Order: sequence, then C-alpha cells, then structure tokens
Amino acid sequence: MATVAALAGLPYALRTDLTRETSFVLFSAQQRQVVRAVQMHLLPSELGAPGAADINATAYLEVAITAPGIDPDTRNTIVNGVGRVQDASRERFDVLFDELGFEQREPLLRYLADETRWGRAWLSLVLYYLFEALLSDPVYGGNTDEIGWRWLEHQAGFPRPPADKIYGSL
Amino acid sequence: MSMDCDVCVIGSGAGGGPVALTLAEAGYSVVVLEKGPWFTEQDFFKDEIACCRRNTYSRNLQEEFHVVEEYANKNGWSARPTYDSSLDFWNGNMVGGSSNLMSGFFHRLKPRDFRLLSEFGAIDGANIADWPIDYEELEPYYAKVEHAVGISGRVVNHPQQEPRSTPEFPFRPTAEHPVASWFDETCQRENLHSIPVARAILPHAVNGRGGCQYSGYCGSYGCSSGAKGSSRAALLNRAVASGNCEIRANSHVYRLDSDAKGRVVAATYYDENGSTELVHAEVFVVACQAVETSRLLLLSQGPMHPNGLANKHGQVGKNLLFSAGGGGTGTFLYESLGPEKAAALNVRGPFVNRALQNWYYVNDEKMGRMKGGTLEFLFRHPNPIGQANRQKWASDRLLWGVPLQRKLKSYFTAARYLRFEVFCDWLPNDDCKVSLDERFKDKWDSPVARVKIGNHPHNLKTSRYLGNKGYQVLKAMGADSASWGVSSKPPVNLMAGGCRFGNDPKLSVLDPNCRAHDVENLYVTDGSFMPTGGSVPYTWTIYANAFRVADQILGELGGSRQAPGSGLEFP
Repeated sequence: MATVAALAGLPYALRTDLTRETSFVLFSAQQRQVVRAVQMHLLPSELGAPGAADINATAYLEVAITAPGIDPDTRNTIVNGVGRVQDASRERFDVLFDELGFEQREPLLRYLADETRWGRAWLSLVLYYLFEALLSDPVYGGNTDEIGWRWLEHQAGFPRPPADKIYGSL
Repeated sequence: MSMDCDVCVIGSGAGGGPVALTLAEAGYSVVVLEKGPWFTEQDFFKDEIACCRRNTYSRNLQEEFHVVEEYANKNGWSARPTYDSSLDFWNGNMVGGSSNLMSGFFHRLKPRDFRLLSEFGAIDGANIADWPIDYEELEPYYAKVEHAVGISGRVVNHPQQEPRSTPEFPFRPTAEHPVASWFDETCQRENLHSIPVARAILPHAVNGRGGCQYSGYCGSYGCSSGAKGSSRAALLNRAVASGNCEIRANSHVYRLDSDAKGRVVAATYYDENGSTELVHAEVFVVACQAVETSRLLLLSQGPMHPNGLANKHGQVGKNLLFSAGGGGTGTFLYESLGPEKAAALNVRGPFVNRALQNWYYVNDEKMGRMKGGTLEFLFRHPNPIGQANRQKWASDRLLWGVPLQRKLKSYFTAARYLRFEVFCDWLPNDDCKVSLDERFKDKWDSPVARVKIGNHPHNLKTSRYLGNKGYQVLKAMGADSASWGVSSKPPVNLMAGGCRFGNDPKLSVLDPNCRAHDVENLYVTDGSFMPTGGSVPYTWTIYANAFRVADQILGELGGSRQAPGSGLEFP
C-alpha cells in the first residue's frame, strides 16, 4: 500500500499513464493475474465484441479504485475478494484460479455468484468496473480507441474531457 | 459593530442567486458563502465518470454524511449513515448549487396548489396546510424568472394552464426530437392535452451565455455553454459583474451567531484551508437546500435561541418534502418501425419536451376527488455505464460472458427507450423531518443531519394512478413493451420544506415573507419555505419566491441605491 500512498498526490491522469508503464500499483503480480483472468472470463474477447483485454480493464480497475475519494471499502472489497477467489480455487481444484481452464472457471465463479454473498457482491463490483473500462471516456485509460462506444454504437456527448479536466483534476 | 457587508447569503443555488442579484444590482454589498467549489463552463464536460460515477459535485461521504432513518417494519425504524448505504443526500455542492445539474423542466404551480387544504381537505396523518400567499402574489415573479433565468417554451391553451401576465415565453422552444410529434399525434388520438414543456435552457446565445449545444447530455451534467439557467450562469455572474457581490467558494458555514437580542450578527465558516472566518452583516439569508438549511438553523443556538435559530416552537426541520412519484419506460424496437421512423427515433440531441397534466386533478368513480400530478416524458438518460450496469442481472442472477455481451449489444443497438416520470405531492407528515443526530458528527465535529423519510400512503396511491396512465400513453404510442413502477424512496434532488412559511408562529418557521418569525434579520429563500410542494419540479417556484423575498428585503433595507435601470436587463 506504500506505493498507493505515494501515488495519491499525483494528478489522476498522470497516474493513469504511469500504470501503463509500471507493473505494480495496488495488486501484487499474483493478484493481478487473478483479476485479469476473472475479467477475461466475465468479458471475453469475441468476434465483434471487445473483451477485458481489449479495453485495458485490469490497469483501469487498479487506477480507478486507488483514486482519491473512492470509498476505502470498495478498494478493500476488491482486494480481499481476489484472495477469496484464490482460496476457493485451491479448495475446489487444488490450483490457483489463473491456472484453471474455462470449464473449471465457469462453475467456480457461478458457485461464488449464486451461493456466496461475498462472491456475488465481488463479482458484481468487478463487472461494474468492467463497464467503466468499456464505456468511460478513453482519457481515463479504458475504452481503447473508443472500442466500447463503437461496439455499442454509443454517441458520446460533447465537449469531451481533456486530460487536465477529468475526475481527480477538477 | 462594523459590518463586512449589507447582506450575507449562505448557499448559492436557486434560493440564493436571486437574492444576491437583486440586492447587488440595487447597490447593496453582498457576500455569498458557498460550501462547494466554483466551477465554470470551462470545467464542465460530458464525462460520465466525473459527473455521475464519482463525488465531483458532492461530498466525500466518509467525511460528511447524513443519517437516514427509514421505516423498517411494524416494530420501528432503522437509521444508517449514508456512507454505509446506497443513499446520498448531497446534491450539487458548488457555486450555483444543484441548479447547475438540473434538467430544467420548468413548471409553475397552479393557483389551487397554494390552497391544497382548502381545495381538497385534510388527509389523516398528513400535515397539509394552505400557503399564506396566493398564486397572484407569486405570478409576477414567475414572469420575472422567465427573463432573468432565461426560460424557453411555447404557451398553449390547455385545461391546467396557469394564468399568465405575459402571453409568451421570452425565448422560443429548444429543438424538439421527432418523437415529440409522435407524442402529439397520440395525444390527439387519445383526447389528451400534450403540453410543450418550458425549459430553463437558452435556444441561442444571449448576454454572454451560449445557446444549447444539443449534445444529448443535460440532466445531471453541468452545462458547457451556459445555456442552462443555473443560478451561477444566469444570476450570480451578473451579481458579481455589478461590483457589489463577492462569492466565497469552499466556505462551509457551520453556525450563525446571534446576540442577546436574538439578531444574527455573524456567519461563522471554515474557509478552504480549514481556518475559521466570520462575516458580519445586517441581513442573513439561508439557502443551503432543505436538509442543510434546517441543520444549520438547529446548529445555531444562541442566548435567545437555545434550541436553534427560528426554532422557538420546535418547527425547524419538520414537514420535510420531496416529490412523490415513480416512472415508466416504453421500449421502441427499431425493427418494428420502418427505416424512416427508425432513423428519426435514433436522432440524438434534441429534447422530447412534452408533459401531460390531464390528471393534475382527479375526479373519478374509483379514486374520488383528489389531487393528481404531472407526467413528464423524456428519453432514458444516455449515460452508458449506468445503463450497462443494469444489464448484468437476469432476474436476480449475475450475467457474464457471451450472454452478457449479447444482451448489451441488443440493449444498446436494437431499441430506444422513452420514459415518463411522475410528479405528485409528497404529503408533509410527522415522519418526514430533519433533526440533529445525537451520535454521528462530520469531519468538522458538527452533528450531522438525521433525515427521517416517512412516506405517506396517499403518495403511493396517487403515484400508482398516474403511473398506470403514463403506461397507457406509452402503449398507445406503439411501444413494443412498457413497464412502470412507483417508489416510496425520496428523490434527493427534489427536496423542500423543513422551514414552512405561514401566519401562525407556533405552526411555522417563517412569516409570509420568509423571514423567521422570531429572528428579525434572518430569511430563508430555498425550497424550505414550502408547506406543500405541488406536483411539478420545484425549481421555478424556488427562483420566483427568492426574487419575491429579495424585493421584501430590499424594501426593508430602504429600497434601491442605484438609479433605475442601471442593472443588466435580459431581453
């Protein structure tokens, strides 16, 4: 968390750029692997439909939940959930989540969503931030080349926010 | 004691702006203390994250929050801080207040709204009261707002049309979406009166404000062109230009100090650095939006006001109002329309601008004679993140993967969604009020407001009646599917009451001129004064009443110090 504290004083846009170049902001490398695997399962890259990998979803999530003003509970829920997914994966399959195949990931996540309160809340939150990464203005680091907007034929409003006038900079 | 200014206005929204403008242009020195920052058109962008997904325009709930008390079950009520719930009672904390973020659907109250008790009688469990003024007294100020704020629209004859002193709005209507004509045709067929809705939006540039850019994003967003008639864009910029008005942003007033005679002598506030500052003035005007206005008065105890300012009879905070209602949505599939109509439906930018008031008053066999309300028609808000997030559920099961992607694609590209919103009276009652919480304090160590949000059953009865009417209209328009619902939850962007005005000091906080009964130099000019709210959005009425009270204050101070006509006039 020391890195998060160090980043807190930086403009949000700068930190967005920073996360593209660095490998550590909030998650450990292992945690990031799990988050990425879950996101790609929830929003896979399909023919004609962008997936988590196409919208910079993992970096987006990491930056979004470390931004000033974000409820610390949200941050903690996301981070703690990663550990619980790992625990559930080990318990059921004796391997880490990111080592599972699709046939194993699907029933595990479905079990967590349907049978556990925390799993349902956690997956709901991860999905929410996937939608942000998919459909927010690209200036925030997701929605690469407006791929989400183009996919859903969404007409953005105007004027669009410049990098120095986005949340965290206003 | 030396005065810093003639008039100190606390809060800069629709209740504060008219007072600041009127008195500044009349030559009096005015200081406006606003808790939030001072954004301008250069800070407003169509950015869903900044606007609607974060707290850019509200407060950090970990630091400043409310305690909301809701009905739990027959055994009682439960109270939770808003940092621990899905509710957020902050709304537009910035110079200009929530008027920066309004949709600007502008309606006047009807003459009968001023005498709801006399016209429709008492209802058990509701504290309905007639207003101490009538429509005729407010009408000149409704007319004044049309020019001062800039209201665009078209006057048509219909059974609920209010009396007007001027024949037309000063600005032509904003551009209308093709679906408005479909709506008109349906209404003609169904023998309903389609009402073109007036908007506090300029259709073209005037006096330094731009015209509407029709970006497709309006409500909840700050206006990038200045077309929206916020208190900031329309009034406060002019007040500052007069040279007599100073706006102090990021200034959180936490107490009004009163002397041994009971007069308010100073507003005490924290500036943006957290330092305590004071403003001394002859007259103080509170307009912090209903909940925070009541809270500030309750926090301001003094030698003559041991229970808070203007609270001699324990009325401050009582009879808080919201707008009761609900809404519905019609789904119009492009594939059900011919190519021409589908293309017309897909047009983005112009407004629907239509409402129905056929059931503003109801008198039928099933419901009897009662007050009804307004149905406002509009497209579903275009924010894509919010819309996408609602697609992740299939019944109560989370959806993901290809099924979610298919649902998203279909939702966003196969249809457009026309909505209606129901506006009806939120009946004042003993279970809807503001008090100081005895346990929780904000980061300034002040007790937070405890908001009890009791909803009278009659609200739901009226809402259901109107919701079903709106549903029938959507079906008559040819919606492929439609749904509607009502809510007992208060819409936090539509709040009023808590300091009702009246003739009886034991039953009201303010006199008919919105001066506190027991504090001779204290006025309240936001929506707090309203004993009942009518069945329309409140903003036009708040603006009009604040201009009316401003004239009263001006008279008390001795009239204008300026030569007539020296103020900026709107065409």
